[in-house]
Amino acid sequence: MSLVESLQDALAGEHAAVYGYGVVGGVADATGSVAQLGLAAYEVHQRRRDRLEARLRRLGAEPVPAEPGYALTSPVVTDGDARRLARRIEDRCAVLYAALVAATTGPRRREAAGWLTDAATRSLAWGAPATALPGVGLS
Amino acid sequence: MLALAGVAAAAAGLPGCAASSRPGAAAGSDDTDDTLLARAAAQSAGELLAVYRATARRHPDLRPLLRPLAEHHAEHLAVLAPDGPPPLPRGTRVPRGRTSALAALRRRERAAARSRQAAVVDASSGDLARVLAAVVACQAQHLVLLDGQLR
Repeated sequence: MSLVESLQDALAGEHAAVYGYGVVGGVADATGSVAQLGLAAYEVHQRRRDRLEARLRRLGAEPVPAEPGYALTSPVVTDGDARRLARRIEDRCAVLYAALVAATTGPRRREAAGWLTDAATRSLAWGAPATALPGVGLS
Repeated sequence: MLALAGVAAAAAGLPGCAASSRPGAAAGSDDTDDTLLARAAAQSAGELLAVYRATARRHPDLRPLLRPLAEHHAEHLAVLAPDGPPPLPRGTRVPRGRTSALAALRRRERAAARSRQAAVVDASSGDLARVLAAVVACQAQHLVLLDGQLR
């Protein structure tokens, strides 16, 4: 996969993540741990979205826009639903970050690897079990 | 698992595997370097596996925590050295105290993760870098879980 394709895929993932964490924030009780974790993650994914857009523009590519809306696989009503959604967001982003690691070199690759580690530990914080190869499509 | 086993090794051009599929890659120093990186990562996974197993033997109450983590290192080993793991170290010393044993595990895991982090950037093959980055991410999860027990 080319660098631009990997960046576009990651950007599309960030758009979905920002939307998803908006849903998480909308569900959560404002003082709960779900709200705190959710807000922190929302901001992280916003920053990554902005960085990816800027990089794509520097490469002369038009960044993919956000979809008007994203289909949720199941209703998100309770904190438990929100945690499950958040796990899914991080696990899907991890796959995109792993692809970005393969497509980049040097400091950019180090950054993508850092994002992968961050997604793996965030997924854990949302209640997922640890896995052997986060983002590499196993288990 | 099977789909992935050998990806890192193939990317690194290890003996017994398909040659590197990188476009235009000639068998040269890049492949050699990647072979060394994959071998070092396999060695490290084998050492960690041995330490986790020894710690679980010495501290049975830690087994539920340590078993799945040891299993992850075994998976890393299978991906990084599909033709057979390097010999596992024997006679690993494990501190008698539970907290000291966990702290020793944590130190080793952290040191290994740092070495792999450097290898991610050094790897010529993107596929190898991806696998190594996943190993680092897994180890970061382990550190969180070990920290949870040490708190």
